[in-house]
Amino acid sequence: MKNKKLTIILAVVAVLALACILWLTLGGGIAKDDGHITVTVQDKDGKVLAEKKIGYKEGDKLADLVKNNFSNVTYEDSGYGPMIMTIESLTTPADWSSYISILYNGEYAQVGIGSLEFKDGDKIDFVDTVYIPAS
Amino acid sequence: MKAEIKRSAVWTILDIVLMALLAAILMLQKELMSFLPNISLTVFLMLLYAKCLGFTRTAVIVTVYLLLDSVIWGSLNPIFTTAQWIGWMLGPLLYCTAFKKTENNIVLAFAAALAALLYCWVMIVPTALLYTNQIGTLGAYILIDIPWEAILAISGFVPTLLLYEPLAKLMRKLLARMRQL
Repeated sequence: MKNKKLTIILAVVAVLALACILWLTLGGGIAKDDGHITVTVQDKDGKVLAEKKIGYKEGDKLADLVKNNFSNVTYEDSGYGPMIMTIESLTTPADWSSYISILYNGEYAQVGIGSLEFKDGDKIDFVDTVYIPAS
Repeated sequence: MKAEIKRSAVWTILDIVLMALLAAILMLQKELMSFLPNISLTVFLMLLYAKCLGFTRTAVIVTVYLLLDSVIWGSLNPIFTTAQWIGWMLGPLLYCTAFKKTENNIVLAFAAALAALLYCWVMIVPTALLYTNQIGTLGAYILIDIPWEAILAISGFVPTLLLYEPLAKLMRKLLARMRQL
């Protein structure tokens, strides 16, 4: 009886912890204030193909802002959040020989577009990147 | 519950079929739950198999599962797959040694969580060897991996807590019945 009670308490605590972790891990990518971000699309050589200064409001999602301001934007849901597959003339080929990198203020973003935190004045680049196979 | 199933050193056709079936179940649940981030019954099922079938048979199941999973997800690589194999094997090894005599679902739930964490920590090594140049720094990977480690640990912890006792009982009963055929 005591063991059953403890089992239920532990299970509830663990499920709540799981829900919190998922919310904290996957719940980013939403604006916390109003502002502007600069978004560019670049080819393999770093040539800017498109550049836009996008205004956003609190609660806007980065994935939606990009989709609404650029053409040919498609996402694939990987189970770990959306993954950008095409934007403007950039496409991810079927053999994955290249992919679209996300640069946040000039550095590789550590999370995907669905979780990327952003603030006023940030610069986000989508860069066509050749896949270097693991050796 | 205490009735120990005598395990023969020689595998019968039944053993081989059973291992294939359990490897398929392991694979199938992983695929069915792949839309959930890092949540699956893999850790729990490995614990269940190890406790009911022993280490050797579980090792075969895990190896078959890992090879199939690597082929399907395109991660078959000598360094990466070897590390995955070592990582997944630590669980059954733990359950069949340190936790061999334990049948308490709470203790085993913590063991499952520990096994999940060990798997994640082992996987830091191939990531350091193969992917850090793409991720940026290894420190960033380790930091970002913490919530995913916690998710895997909890997804092993909760099913073990709730399902281990009834399923272990059922599986032992079915195994005993099958061996009488």
